[in-house]
Amino acid sequence: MIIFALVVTTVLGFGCRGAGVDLGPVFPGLMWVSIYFVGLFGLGRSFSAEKSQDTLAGLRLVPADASFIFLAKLAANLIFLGLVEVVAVPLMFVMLGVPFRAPLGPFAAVVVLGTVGFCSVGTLLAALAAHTRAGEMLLPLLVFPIIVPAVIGAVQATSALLGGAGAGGWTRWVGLLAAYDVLFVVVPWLVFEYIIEP
Amino acid sequence: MNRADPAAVGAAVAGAAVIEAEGLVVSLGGRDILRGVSFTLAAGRTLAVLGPNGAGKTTLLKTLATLLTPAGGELRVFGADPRRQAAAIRRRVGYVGHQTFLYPQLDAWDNLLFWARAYELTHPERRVEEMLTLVGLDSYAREPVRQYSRGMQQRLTLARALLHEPGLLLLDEPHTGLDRQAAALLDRVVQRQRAGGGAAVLTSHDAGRAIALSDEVLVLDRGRVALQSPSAAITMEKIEALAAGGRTGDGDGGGQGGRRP
Repeated sequence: MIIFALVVTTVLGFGCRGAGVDLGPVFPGLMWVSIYFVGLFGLGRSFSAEKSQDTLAGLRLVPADASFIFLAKLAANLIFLGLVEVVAVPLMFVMLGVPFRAPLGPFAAVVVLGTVGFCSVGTLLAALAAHTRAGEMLLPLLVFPIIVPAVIGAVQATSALLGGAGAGGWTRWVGLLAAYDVLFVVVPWLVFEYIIEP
Repeated sequence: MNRADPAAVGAAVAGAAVIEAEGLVVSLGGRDILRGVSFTLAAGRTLAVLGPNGAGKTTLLKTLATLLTPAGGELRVFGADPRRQAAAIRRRVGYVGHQTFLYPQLDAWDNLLFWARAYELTHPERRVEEMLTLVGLDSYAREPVRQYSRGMQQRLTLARALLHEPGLLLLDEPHTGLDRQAAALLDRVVQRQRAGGGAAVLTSHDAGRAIALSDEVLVLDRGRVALQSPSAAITMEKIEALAAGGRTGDGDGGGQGGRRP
């Protein structure tokens, strides 16, 4: 997944350079496109372990709220994507020659918030897609329309931070991301039990 | 020792009703699969659910296991309504279905340990060891489940269902794929469940075997109860007639003469 992230970034970077595009302004978009493409690979496999022997139904037999399955899978997806980001994001800056001038704390917060929202929506929709035959093909079609606000917020906040904008330039985008995350963690947590019931 | 809370869901006192179904309706995909099924099952009793394909046997067991939600009628398992107290019921129910609910890439030990921890058992490792010994898989505990034969996987599935000492055992065609030794083990498990004051519901296409193991028989046909009878009173002619799509003409199962299983 790390290598895929770097390949996507490099290919997009070469494409932009070849077209004479200054990488600085487009880097936030490149970074998040890479992260979300890689994330989709992981999300598509979220429930693959439970498919072959209907283990998801077995998990529903456990005497606990079925939302725990969602929270556990969300945590796993966050950890995997988080590990990819820890390695791949710094390498993206190096490989594309983009200087890192953002304050580290806010930058890390934006990356975390952008990842949480994506993983939360993706985990819920992966559970939904797992019930269908063309689940892995269907997942991107389900995920991308819903994560548009998160993508906009993440790219704009990253762009403002890397561009040296003051707090006023990025805090509203962080607020958007935070609100998105709260909504899309709480709602899936509430409806997950109904999503996985046949 | 499992962590069931008898106060939360009524304890299965001998003779007390473990299952009470009245006009149970269950729908799947907009179609009514169970159409008003009524029966009761007391603690210490075993019920065989028979019927042709599509009669609703699996749907009934899944509903009792709280995997499906009733669309109508009343259902109480250990005195609890599955629409409101599903988690409490699940603590007391063990289910063996058509799928094993096992992770093929894990070995038997890790599979059972996962489920033992999910059920919050007090001594999960000890319980896993007991179950593996019970089902005769202790020598194969560290082999990946994907390498197991169908019979071995079914044994492990049975072990998984028994981990938390359920008061109600639900077995959906459990003899499928079992050799004689494993089938005999399953029969002993059902008998032990009954002797210990627990209840069991099993479905099977082997009507004779199911009836021999059970105290009561419920025959479903197209989602309705076609026959309900003590096992001792059932005849194979009635079962075969129902399997062929006919009805007995009477609502109870009392029969005179005919071939007994």
